[in-house]
Amino acid sequence: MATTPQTVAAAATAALPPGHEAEHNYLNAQKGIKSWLLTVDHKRIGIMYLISVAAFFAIGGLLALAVRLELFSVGPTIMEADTYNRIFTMHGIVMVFAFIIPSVMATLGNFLLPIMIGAKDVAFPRLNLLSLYIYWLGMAFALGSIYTGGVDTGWTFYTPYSKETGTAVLAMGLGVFIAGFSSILTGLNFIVTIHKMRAPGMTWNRMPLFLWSVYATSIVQILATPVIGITMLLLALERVVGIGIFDPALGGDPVLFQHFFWFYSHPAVYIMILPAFGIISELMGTFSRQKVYGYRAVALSSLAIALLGFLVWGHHMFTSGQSPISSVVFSMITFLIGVPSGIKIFNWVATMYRGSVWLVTPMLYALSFLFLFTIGGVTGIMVGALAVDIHLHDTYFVVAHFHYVMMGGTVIALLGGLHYWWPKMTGRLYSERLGQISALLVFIGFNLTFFVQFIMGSQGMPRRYFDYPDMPWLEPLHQLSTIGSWVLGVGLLVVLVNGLWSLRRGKLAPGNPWGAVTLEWAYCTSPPDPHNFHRTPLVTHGPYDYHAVFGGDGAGDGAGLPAPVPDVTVGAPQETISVDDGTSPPDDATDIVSRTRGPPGRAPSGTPWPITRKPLPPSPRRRSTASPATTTTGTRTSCSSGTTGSSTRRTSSTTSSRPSSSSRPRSWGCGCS
Amino acid sequence: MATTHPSDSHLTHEEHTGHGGHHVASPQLLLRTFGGLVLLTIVTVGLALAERAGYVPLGPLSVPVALAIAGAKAYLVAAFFMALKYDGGTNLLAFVGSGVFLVIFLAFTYLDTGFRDTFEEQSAVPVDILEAEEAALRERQERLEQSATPPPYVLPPDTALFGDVPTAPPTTPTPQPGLQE
Amino acid sequence: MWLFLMTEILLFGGMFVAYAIFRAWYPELFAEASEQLDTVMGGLNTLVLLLSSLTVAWAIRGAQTDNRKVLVWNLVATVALAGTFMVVKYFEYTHKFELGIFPGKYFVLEEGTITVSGEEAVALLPAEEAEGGAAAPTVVEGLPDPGPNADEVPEGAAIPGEAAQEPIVVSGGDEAAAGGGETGELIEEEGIEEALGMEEAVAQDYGEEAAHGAELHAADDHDGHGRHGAIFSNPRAGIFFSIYYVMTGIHGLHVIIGMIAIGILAWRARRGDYTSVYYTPVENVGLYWHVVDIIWIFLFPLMYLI
Repeated sequence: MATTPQTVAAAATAALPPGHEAEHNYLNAQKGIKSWLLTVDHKRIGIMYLISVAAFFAIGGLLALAVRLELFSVGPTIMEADTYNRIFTMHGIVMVFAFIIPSVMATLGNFLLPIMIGAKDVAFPRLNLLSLYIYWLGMAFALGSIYTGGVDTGWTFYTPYSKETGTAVLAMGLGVFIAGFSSILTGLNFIVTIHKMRAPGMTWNRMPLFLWSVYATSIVQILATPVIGITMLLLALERVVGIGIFDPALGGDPVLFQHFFWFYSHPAVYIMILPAFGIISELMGTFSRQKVYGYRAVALSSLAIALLGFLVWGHHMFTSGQSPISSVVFSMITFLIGVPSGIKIFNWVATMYRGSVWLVTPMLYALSFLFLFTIGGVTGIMVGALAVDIHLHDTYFVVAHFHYVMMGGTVIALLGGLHYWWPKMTGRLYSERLGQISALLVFIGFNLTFFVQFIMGSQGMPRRYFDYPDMPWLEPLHQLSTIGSWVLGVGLLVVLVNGLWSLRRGKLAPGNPWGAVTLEWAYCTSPPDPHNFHRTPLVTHGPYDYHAVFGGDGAGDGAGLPAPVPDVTVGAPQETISVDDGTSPPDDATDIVSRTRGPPGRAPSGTPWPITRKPLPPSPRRRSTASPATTTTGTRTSCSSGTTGSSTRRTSSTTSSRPSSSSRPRSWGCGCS
Repeated sequence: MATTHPSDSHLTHEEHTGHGGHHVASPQLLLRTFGGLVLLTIVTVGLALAERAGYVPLGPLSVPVALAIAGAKAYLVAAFFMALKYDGGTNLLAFVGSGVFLVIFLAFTYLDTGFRDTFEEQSAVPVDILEAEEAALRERQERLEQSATPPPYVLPPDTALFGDVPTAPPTTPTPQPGLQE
Repeated sequence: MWLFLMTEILLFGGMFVAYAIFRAWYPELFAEASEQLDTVMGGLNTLVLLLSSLTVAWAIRGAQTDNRKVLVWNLVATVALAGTFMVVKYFEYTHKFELGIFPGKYFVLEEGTITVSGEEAVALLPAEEAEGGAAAPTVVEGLPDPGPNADEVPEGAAIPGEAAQEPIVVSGGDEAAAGGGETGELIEEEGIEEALGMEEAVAQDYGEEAAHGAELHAADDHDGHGRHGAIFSNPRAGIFFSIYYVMTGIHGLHVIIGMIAIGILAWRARRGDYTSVYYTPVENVGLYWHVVDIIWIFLFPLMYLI
């Protein structure tokens, strides 16, 4: 459907926030369940993934609560040991294979990747839908294994136990095998999309960091996932026809299974965490109001992590009886992984340095992420050290470590990303108050649950144990952990309630509530059009050039000015944000973002937009600081959270607060014609 | 184009620049590639059979030679049949890259399986404990040797057949556990 | 497509790694087990696959030059060649099953005895006792605890049962007699032997085999690669055949998938769907087929030759 200027004008006059396109978007373009199930629209597929993944997260979370409840006291509390084994196994498998691996990639990745690079869809839309169905099929097998008795091997399926146990390893293995193909197809699709379908002007160095992460993740998915496929196949054959490759009685080697398994599953850890890094990069930039510090370093560190991630799998096997020499080598390479991860952490912190840190819900999650992931990462180096690991292996220390990385890292980042992109996905604003409450609850609950597990682990509490009769002194800690899990559960429930509430009652979202400058915000309505853009966007600046739109000098190094926090109280007009309303001239090669959006009805089609950049007036929220670097310009932006900024901030746009802005060349991007 | 079969590959190439500059392989090229593949197959099979029959003692070289031949064949297929030679960077990177990761997989796994007993002699157990264990073992050995009486060379007469036996109670040749160790 | 090929390579890569690891552990075992495989059939299959690669490449050329006839017939020829490959594979498999060469724990190739045992360790009599020389169904007898009907085919575990239901053909020392049993297979094979000019090498093997004595013949591959060695009754030898079956099996699966894909292509090409402007599907399936070929190029020496 071709949106005419009239419809946009009509929409705007109907008191819709700018950029909010109620008449026609991907959500209401077609109706009916069939239009969802047969869609090839990456946005709808992303939403369906999101719903599935959220459902599995709920299942896995309930199982986790059951596990924690069982450990509340010494002795059987609510279940028997056999049930316990099945439940923690199911928790692990659901969380790893059904939830975390597709969590960010298939939901936010699917939804955002084409929009962020300015494409209409992914490269192979039908393949994309196929991957969703394959995922569902795989999960059907995985869940079906519950009816055939469940699995009690732990999510790692270690032989020889997984060969001997009478439970439904076959169905589960088949499920994992099938789900792997879904992962491969997604990765393949994303790589081709990024390579082939970037909008004009979207150079590699202008891609949002989220896409760099997605790209690195896709490589890992393609390279590693086939190995879990063959591993599960061999395990199945081992059970069915006894091929003996993993069976010592037949000359095989159970440790070889661990090699096979971890050759996939360690890179899979990076499949889980890398997209989360990408989300955090986006959040840090947007909510610090300045360039992400060290863009290239952050981007390349993603690739470095992806590649190094293939060289460290043996650190899961220090106590398995592998050769000492390989343990030493793996331990050394494991330390190397700390380098690119550290680069990221430091760059994020540097991004906040002297930025206008804007403490809304997504940023709260991002800060939680920094805190939790750093703990998770540093303890990872601890257990990566060969000697320490001998003591800590398979204890609660390891459990706490990977929950800090996976939950404190990926899940927190996913929650932050969901809050951040929620207005874009649904066209509704969530309740900021509920959002902040949930962020707080999740943070407290998470630490309560898992920090004590570090202590328990270092005191020798083994993982996967049903009971701890020999260590009764751990009971209070276990109880603390269990109580923490309830807090965490309540926090996540608040997130769910907030989301559902916003769907019904949330205010309509404007096109760019956060004042971000990546394409999905700056150039796309909320919710997006079925084809994302009315016209292929032309990219002329980097993904974090907030200064190009909102002022600041764009140095992004903490020495200059950050862009001010935009006034994003709901529905306030944001005049400097261009929304592609279909009225701008087709071959307009000027800086799209700096194009001023005129009042509705004022701009006739074909008229060149004024390409002057609106300098920002001094904000009432700005206050001068004593810093010598900023006294020259007179303003220093510092922002507190949740301010209801006045909507008149940009009405008087004549005075420039920054004398240097006039001498700046108008086009901040380069090489685009 | 269906009318002619140009034998000159350059001509063909020029005529079909429409499709992304894909290389159009000439029949000669294809046939020559195939010929090379067949030749290499015969060589490798011939070598293997000859080696098995004892004519060509390749010894430890047999595996590398066979793999080298296979690699050459794979190169022929990839370069000419798959037109990788004319294709360009990304595809080559993907193809070679997967091989590289395969080598990584193999190398690191072999680092374990090939060196399982590398450090067995240089164990981390302190020397005094090792010596104490050795001493204990030696002592146990001596104790067992003392306690174990060798089986008698002549069996004592059966009391059921020969009622009264004046000699000492027979030493039953019960197997001593110590001797088995 | 190339990315997909990466996943294919790594999928097989896992098995190549397993092969390499176990070969490093049991070199002699693998060498001897490898000799149980039929080099000639393997070589034949290699040539068949190489030829099919040629036809696919030629088909792409046909598409590029808008020559529909070349395109279609080359695709058809590819499917036919792939079919040939699978047929040869089928004969190889069935023959091994007959000999008791099963993967893993079912591996029961014994010296001088063909034993097909599943869970109940049901054994077949030595072939020479069953019938002398000529090909004939082997008498099945339960050992050591014979079932009530010694002459009946045991209903054991699925796989042994399957194999046992086929008439067991045993070649004695006389190759001509063996020809009577598996005629088609052997004729085909002999033709290829001549074509390859390897007759002498094979004959050499026969000669060597004869030196080993008649009692070995029963267990031998009919072209005489079986020798006295460590693999008989060695459960670890099953590892080799496990990897052999898994790798060739999955490879065969790929061949079948390729056959289907190429068949569809041929059908559509006949309809005139592909021109020099649009032939991406042909090209992609062609690439896939070449990778299948390359994998076999590595499988063949690793499994059959060294």
